[in-house]
Amino acid sequence: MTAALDDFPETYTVVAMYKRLVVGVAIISPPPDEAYITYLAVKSGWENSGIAQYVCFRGIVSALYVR
Amino acid sequence: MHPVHELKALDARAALKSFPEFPSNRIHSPTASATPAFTLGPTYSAADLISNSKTPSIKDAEDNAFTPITTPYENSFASRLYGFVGTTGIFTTSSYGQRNLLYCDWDNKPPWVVLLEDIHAHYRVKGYLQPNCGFASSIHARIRETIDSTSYIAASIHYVGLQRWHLNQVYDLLETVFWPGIDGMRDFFEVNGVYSHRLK
Repeated sequence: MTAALDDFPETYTVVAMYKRLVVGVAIISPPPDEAYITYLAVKSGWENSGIAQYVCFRGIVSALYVR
Repeated sequence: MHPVHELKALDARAALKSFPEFPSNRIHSPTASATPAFTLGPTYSAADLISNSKTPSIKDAEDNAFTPITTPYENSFASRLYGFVGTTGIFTTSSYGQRNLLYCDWDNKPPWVVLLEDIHAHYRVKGYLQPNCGFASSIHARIRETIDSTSYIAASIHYVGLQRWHLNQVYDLLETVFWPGIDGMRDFFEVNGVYSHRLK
């Protein structure tokens, strides 16, 4: 798992942080033909801040760029 | 107001002399986080403002306005470049470096964070409330103590790539949102493998 974390492109797994606190995460898997949003989560209390929007946007853009 | 020619320009050489040591020394020294070496000017806390009972003169106000307030090293820009020793581990350049910092959002914050910052700014600016008014004064004293002890500093939302030291927090977040016992990365790579296998 650590080797996979090292090998994997960081732009597919975007983390939103406030100071040292993780407030949102999007894990996007890029299969050969189509991208797949594996997980998309935002910490409670941090909704309506555009976190999921940007996190999703970033991962999708990365997937499109690679294709 | 000061005339322009009397304003003291920031001496770059003096700033460089007070610059923290090279990052490798800083990371491995045990007291690195306890002693901020990055000081550009005097530090003002809310306690200083509250305990100062006399009205500050115009000269003092001007000096305060033109003197940069010290930023703790852990929150400074230099710490993001050079790394520092945090409470949960060593944050090195790769965790906040240019390669991984995708976006820095100062605009969007939850309403309660904005309210919290407003409250802190209010007490920082107002300095003190009614000193002798019975019940309310004790509450205000508690609020003052709380704010002084925490010394809140506003921050932005950083969007970074996944790092190893994020994993515990990411697991906690995924377990809270989805179901307990979820192993984010393991499921992630299993799904990856299954999908690629089927598509092939």
